[in-house]
Amino acid sequence: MQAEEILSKIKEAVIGGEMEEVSKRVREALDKGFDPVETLEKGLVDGIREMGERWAREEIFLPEVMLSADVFKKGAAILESEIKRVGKTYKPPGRILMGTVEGDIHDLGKNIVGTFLTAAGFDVYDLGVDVPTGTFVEKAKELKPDIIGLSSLLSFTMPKQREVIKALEEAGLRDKIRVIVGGAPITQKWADEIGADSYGEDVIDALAKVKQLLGIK
Amino acid sequence: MSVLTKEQLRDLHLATLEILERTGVRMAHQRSLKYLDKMGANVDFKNQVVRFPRNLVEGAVKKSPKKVRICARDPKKDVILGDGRPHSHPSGGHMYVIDLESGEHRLGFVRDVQMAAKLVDALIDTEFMITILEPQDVPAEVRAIVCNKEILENTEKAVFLFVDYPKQSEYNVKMCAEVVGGIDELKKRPISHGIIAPTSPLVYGEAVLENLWYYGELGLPCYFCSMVSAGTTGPVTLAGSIAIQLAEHLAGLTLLQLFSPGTQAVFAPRLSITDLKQGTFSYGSPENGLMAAAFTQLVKTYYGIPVDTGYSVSDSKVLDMQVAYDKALTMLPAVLAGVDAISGLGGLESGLTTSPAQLVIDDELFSMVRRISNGFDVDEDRLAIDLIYKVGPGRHFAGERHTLEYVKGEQFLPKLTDRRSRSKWLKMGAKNAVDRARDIARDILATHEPEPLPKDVRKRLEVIVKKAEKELVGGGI
Repeated sequence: MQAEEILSKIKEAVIGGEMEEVSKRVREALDKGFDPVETLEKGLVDGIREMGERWAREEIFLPEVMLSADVFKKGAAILESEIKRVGKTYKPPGRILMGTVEGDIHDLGKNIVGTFLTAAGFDVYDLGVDVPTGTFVEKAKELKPDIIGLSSLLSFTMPKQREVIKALEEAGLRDKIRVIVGGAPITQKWADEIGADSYGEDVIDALAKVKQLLGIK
Repeated sequence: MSVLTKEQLRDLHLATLEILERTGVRMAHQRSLKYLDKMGANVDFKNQVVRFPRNLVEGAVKKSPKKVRICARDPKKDVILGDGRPHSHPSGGHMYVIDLESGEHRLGFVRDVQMAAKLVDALIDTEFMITILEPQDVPAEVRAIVCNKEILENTEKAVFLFVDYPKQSEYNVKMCAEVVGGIDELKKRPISHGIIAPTSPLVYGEAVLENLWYYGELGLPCYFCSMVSAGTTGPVTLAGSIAIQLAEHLAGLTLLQLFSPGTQAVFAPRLSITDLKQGTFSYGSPENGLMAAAFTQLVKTYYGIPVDTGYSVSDSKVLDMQVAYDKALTMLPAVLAGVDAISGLGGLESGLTTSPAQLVIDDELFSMVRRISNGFDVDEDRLAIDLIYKVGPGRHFAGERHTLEYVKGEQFLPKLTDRRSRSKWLKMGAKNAVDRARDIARDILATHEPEPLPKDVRKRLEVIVKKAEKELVGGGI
């Protein structure tokens, strides 16, 4: 099979949400000695990007994107270890650390945003829910993200977003990391008040704002 | 109206009990876990999951009152959930407002709470008021407290006033106690309620359970209110989402009735579907009406606990035709299925935005829906066969005493709806329903003076709010 054919099969496996197919095809590509970075970019990333675009055009349902994202992650895990093994690097358009602030256990919106950031090719680290302020800071030091996304659904956990921003300032990280906030009770006014760099109203808006912050068109 | 057959009801009931017994509910609260373990539930301490044996749930349900009184400053205005009639109230917790004068969509403020409370005080069919919005001109930590103070001052009607997190509860309860004449009086005539909102699917967070114990131990009523959305936080199948929603409510109710038997409780699910092409929760879908009716029927058949559902907030952003059909199709099925209260009056944009003009429209819509649910009597006088014989073919009934006698009981009398002739409508300004609703709202706000609270009580409320501001703002949760 030609390189292009295998890459297109990988892309199709991501689009179709086929877990076994993606592992099989990615391994096949590696067996044939394909460049793992190219396999990632032209197979998996192309596939997941296509799904993100189809969803934005309202052509497909949310579970289709989420299943594709799982398949993408599965394929990417195989490729990442190979990329490391051969001593290459893959540079995603940006690294994003995200989580729901302390005291709040809502994760649906955050997870959907995470999926779409993944679908747009970003390197996403999701810290989960009820994340203590200190954990955001520690992980920021460790992972050096470009952006931190803070989610809160309850109005009384909103002040925790401000706390994280202050803690990043105190740790001397604030000038290196942009902060974007979101969640049902969050407004632009609130984002301005606490000194966040941006506010994502919904999934599509969050994606656009992340790209804007990183200067990606 | 039945949407489910006997067999379907039984299957849903058994599925709910199986979810509680097999999957269980996560309760992130040591005190609750230890207590439930002692009381015979099957507790997995490591994963904080409680599995409820069927007999434990059924025993608890028996202790829960079948009627819940929502109290008012003026006891004549109390509302009884479970009295066989549907009641209604605005939706709560909004962020935004459609400005009555400019029509612009903007953040909601304290003055919007005052306005909404005054409107509810004057509107006839909206019988109780709740914590309607999170005023954005006060700090996040005290928004619910400030909102509730304004409501206490601006309506004599029944109120259901809640806060979101345990630290606020103390201030809210103190404030409500001041209004009714002390904490013992508040227990007898509660106007402060615990809103117990588990996170779907099947999780009770620590703060939620703190609140449940706080209100339960005080003997104040608890409103179970969670928001399963079919397709994301519940299965996409309506049956599965109804079962999981009821399981969540029953888990909390079981705990409550075990540690505080006989405490009043209401099931107030805000069931929705997720629009899987948008990733948004929809509250205006036909499935919402269907699920509200089915949930009501299920609870009425097996549990007898008052139900507040049929959350009619629409997904529309503006006061348009979509609001009208969204709301009609969510309210009507729930009311016909025998729901005790409808929420959502005034609400738009899936519950993010509230509008005074919409509140006026929904008050009218609700009274029309209630008119349908009232049905009509069929007896000798109403069949009117003697009258029909007397009038005979080819003549009319407009001049009959019988017509005059029954018109008020038989016909809904509109306040907002237009049925005028075109020429008369033109002469009156050719206004559509939204403009007429605005006129009614303006008129109420200009002329209606709610009975004020005594001056000393107002002063004490002010002191409590000041204290809350000092102690809560900036202090974190």
